[in-house]
Amino acid sequence: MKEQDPLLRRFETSYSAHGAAVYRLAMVYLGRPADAEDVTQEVFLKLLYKAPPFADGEHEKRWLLRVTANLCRDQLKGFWRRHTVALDESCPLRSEEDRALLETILALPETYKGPIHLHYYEGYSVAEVAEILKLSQSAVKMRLKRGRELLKLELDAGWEGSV
Amino acid sequence: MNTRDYRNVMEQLTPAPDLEGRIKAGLTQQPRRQAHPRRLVGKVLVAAVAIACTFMVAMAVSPQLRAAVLTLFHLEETEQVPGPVSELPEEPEMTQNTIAQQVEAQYIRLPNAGSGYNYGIGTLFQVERTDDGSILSFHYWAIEEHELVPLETRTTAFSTTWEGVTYTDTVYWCEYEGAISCYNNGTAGYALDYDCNTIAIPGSTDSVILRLSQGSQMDYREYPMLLNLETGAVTDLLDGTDWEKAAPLTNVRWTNDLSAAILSSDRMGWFYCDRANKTTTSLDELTGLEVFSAWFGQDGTLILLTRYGDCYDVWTWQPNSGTLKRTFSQLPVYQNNEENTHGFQFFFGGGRGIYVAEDGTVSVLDLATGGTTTVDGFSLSQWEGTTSFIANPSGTKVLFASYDGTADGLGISSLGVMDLEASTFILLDRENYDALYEGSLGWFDGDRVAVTAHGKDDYTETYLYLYRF
Repeated sequence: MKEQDPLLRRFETSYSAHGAAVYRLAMVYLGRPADAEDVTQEVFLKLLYKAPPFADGEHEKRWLLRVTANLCRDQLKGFWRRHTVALDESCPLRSEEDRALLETILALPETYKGPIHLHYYEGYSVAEVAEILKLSQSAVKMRLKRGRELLKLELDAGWEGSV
Repeated sequence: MNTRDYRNVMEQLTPAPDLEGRIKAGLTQQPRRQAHPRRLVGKVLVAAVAIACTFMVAMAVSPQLRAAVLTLFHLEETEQVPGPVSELPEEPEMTQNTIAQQVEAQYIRLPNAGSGYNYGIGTLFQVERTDDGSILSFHYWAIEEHELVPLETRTTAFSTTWEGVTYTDTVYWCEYEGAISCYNNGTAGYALDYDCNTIAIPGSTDSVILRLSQGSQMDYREYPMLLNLETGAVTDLLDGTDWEKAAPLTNVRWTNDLSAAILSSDRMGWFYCDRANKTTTSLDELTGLEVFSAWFGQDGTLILLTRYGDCYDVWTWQPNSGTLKRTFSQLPVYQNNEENTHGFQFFFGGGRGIYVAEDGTVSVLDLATGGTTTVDGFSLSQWEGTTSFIANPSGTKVLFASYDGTADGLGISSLGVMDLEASTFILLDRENYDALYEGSLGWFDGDRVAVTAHGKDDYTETYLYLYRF
């Protein structure tokens, strides 16, 4: 166990900073807490064993989110995943209204989920979303526009990230 | 919904308090078999020693097969991919082009977004629908030489019940060159809890498989029936075979004569169903392996995959004799992510796999014989961005594509076909591919590669581009 101590410390630090962000993105893609937890586990284990050196915490977070999106998309390619992503009833939410909102988000086609979440929740710019998801900026803008239309997402007054 | 609502809902999504502890505990566990996501902790632990996975041919098979080499012809002439045409045709329209005297391209404009093609069969279709999604009319075409030929479309209505749900629908089908193309509306995605679709049977022109399904995700289950196209009669394909051992079924794969099936269940594992002898038995029990995946090779032979840690072994198993043979061992798992860009990819058709070595060299593996074919002078490390390989249904050809990550759609910047019989790999670079939104890539038939696309500004503009290398 002694040899793993530095790994454990690394994990604790990173999980404390970015665990919730990784889990949320996985939930947006997959819709089931158990699946999102599996992906979260795999993402952090990849961090421990396969990650490149990072310039800072933000660099690390972007890497984690990119790996999360990749793993989720890989899962969604799986056989039974081709069917719809629906909200697991075990997912705790404060109200039925919130549950309905989350179901609407989960019903969004996979292509739009990452850009919408990273832009409107994580607050990344179009260029940053493009870098994280390895898309062109025009593709991100297009997906944000269409995703927003599908969600009937209204922008808050003063929201600066609109496209 | 506004962005504040979105953020409010997201704030409520927090990982279980004990997740951190579970991951930490996992760091100290011994690695286990890798067949289920719950075992991912073990998987990545094993990844730490995956470097020890050494690809090697385990069985002594035909040396000349293993020594086979494809010659690369990277064409100097590039394809100028035709851009959008705003005026929609009333019927499919086709133009032709030959590139570098090596690649025959057929550019087809389809009437509207209700068009498509039948994977691997070589027909294309157009559906006209009413506003509520029901089908008004249905047309099939084949491509003969340089023109599109309308085919006679026939219909078969059916109704059957499975697990309390009655499935009533119409199949639109045609026969072309001894193969059936079929299409049915199902629930068109409107019902989330049940659906049905039809699947052609190779060599059969009187029946198709009717796949009935219910539930989604972990609750998903399906059941196969046989639909007689002349009478509309529906017959239970697994009745009396003891298939219930494998229930709930999540996938069924058939031999061409439907005499046997591989039954797959996310919960129960993999089973071999012998319809003639009316038996269903776990493949783990029959082979002594922990089967990770299974599918049919030729002549009813099964190709099995086992996975230990981050490595695959490939096996063949003969149902009649029980003979088990390992054709490849210690193939590192391929991950198409930037963290690990080498390893083994396998296909569900054609009995082929692709192995990308750490130096980027590419080999096509014959999973049934253990034969290996390498590509001379070609390395994936020369390519930036994502690439993919797809075998044709018979496994005689493998297509290669390279994608431009800055394009809106797939952005196929290079397209090539490895012909395993002619021992050639012809590779074509493309220009102007970003003028359309390229949506899919696959085999139109055993010989032609298909790219589907639509207009960037107008999604009703639909294009099907075919390539014969």
